[in-house]
Amino acid sequence: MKEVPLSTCEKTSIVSAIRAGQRYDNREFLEVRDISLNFGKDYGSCTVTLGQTRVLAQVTGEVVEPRPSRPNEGKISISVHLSPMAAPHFESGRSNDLVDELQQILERNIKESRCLDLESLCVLAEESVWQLRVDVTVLNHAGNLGDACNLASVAALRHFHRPDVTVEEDGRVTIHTLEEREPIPTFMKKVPVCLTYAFFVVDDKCYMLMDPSEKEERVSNYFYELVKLWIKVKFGFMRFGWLLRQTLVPPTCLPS
Amino acid sequence: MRGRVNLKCRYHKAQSPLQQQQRRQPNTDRARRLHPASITCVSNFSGRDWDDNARYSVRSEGWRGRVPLSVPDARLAPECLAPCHDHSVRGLWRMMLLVALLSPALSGGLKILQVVLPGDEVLQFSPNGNNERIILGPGLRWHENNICATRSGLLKKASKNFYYVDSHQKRYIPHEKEFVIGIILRKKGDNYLIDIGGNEPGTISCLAFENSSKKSRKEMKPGDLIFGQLLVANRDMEPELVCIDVFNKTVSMESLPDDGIMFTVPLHVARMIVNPENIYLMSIAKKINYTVIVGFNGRVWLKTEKQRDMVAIMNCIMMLEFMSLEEAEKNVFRLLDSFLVPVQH
Repeated sequence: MKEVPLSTCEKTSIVSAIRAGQRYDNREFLEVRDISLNFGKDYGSCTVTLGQTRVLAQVTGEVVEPRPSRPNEGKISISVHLSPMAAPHFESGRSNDLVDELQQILERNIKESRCLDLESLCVLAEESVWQLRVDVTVLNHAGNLGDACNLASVAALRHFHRPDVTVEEDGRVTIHTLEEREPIPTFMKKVPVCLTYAFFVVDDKCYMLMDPSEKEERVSNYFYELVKLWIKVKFGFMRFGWLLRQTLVPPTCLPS
Repeated sequence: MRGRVNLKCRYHKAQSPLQQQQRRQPNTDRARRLHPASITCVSNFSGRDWDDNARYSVRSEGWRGRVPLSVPDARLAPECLAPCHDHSVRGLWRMMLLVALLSPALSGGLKILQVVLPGDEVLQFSPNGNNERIILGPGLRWHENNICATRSGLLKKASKNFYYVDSHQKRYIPHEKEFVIGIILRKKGDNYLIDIGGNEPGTISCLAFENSSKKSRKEMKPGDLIFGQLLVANRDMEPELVCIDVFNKTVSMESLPDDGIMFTVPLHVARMIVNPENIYLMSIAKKINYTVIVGFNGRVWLKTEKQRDMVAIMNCIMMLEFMSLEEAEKNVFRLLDSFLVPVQH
């Protein structure tokens, strides 16, 4: 099914509501919707509810051979699935722009930021390492999928405990079950926090909205995503989506 | 301060002129009163299309004229949410599925307002040559001497013998003679392609507006809203809309102006607020004057003078999705006040 088109009426009504200082769900401009995190019975499973947006992340691990270029490091692979349950215009199995964008966000946040200590995932150098696989499924799309996916995958990674491993002298690796030995939690040095802002340009004024809902996302002019890595004072920028011919954001707009 | 609700879904027959000649004119006096019991003829249905049964939805056909401030004597069961207050006997009911004959002892077996799941047996019967009849609406099906539910929801009764299952549904399935709000996608030859929320876009001819001829046509751009009636809507053809009634007059069916607010609600909420027994819209009108147009595809268009009021009323109507009417009526003023408090920016 194709996406339901946005009528002119809806566009103008959102923009005029913002000009009057109001959002549809009566939030402040810089107010985020209610967030709730639900962890599952198994280690590594987390469902995040951001308002009506719902995302499920599941982390699983298995022991594999390492990459030859990095024999001491474990691996992480992240994949995002948009199920048709989330929105009528999503089709499972077909890659579309949104999936690519979300995957890019998550890979940059988790892999490139080196927040997980991959060397701790090593079991036996050059022979076996842990490969963590994060599967993120979007259950309901009501705006701001980037934040929700990021939150879900980070929470799932922090919730995940990997089974304890002993290495024999002759090189055999025994993976203990969860009952035999206590599983080991994953250690994250830095926690990536993702914040999404939508900008509306109305009458030479620029309004910044935090945590846009689905309609606000579709109507907004520009879209910013700010990723802040907690603990370490370092933040990165990414602009994507409906992009920008001119850089519009004055420095005062950004939170310090 | 008394407000007014200008409810714009009106009843009209969308028929070709040929059909109009063959039928007599609807009786407008009877049209104001509700006589569900007079509907005994449930023709136009051949018993073999069982699958069609599940697709029909209970609809209410709207008012002729303004919503009166005193609700007329309904003669419907109080738990009814979507009465079909349409009165001429043939052809204007869409829900008909089966007339089954019941023995009197079993007619008391159907419990109203019970939660049913698909496959639940609601009643067992075998046809006897008795007087009692039972009429099955959407969500119920008769198969091998059993009446089963095909949807999950509440079992409800709309009239003396008419039962149906009211379910929470967001996906719209187009039916004939329903009023819908559509969004224009593009112009295709002499027609406009319109998205009405179903699986296929519908069409509306450029001539299907009042005062439009081949020389002077109504021009509309993609993204405009239109409120029309479905002339043709079955599963084998793409839906077709018209904006005029059988007398070639536009009566509040037109393209909607751009400065309102449009939002989508689940179908049962749209049916609920159009129900003339329901005074929810009127209780909102006590505080704010507004105009509302409700489409049966779940789309609602609102307009007030102030921007802030529109968002407030929109939230009041969307609140009905998970609240029962009584709860909603208690909370509606509190919600309106919370929205109308100005926020400092």
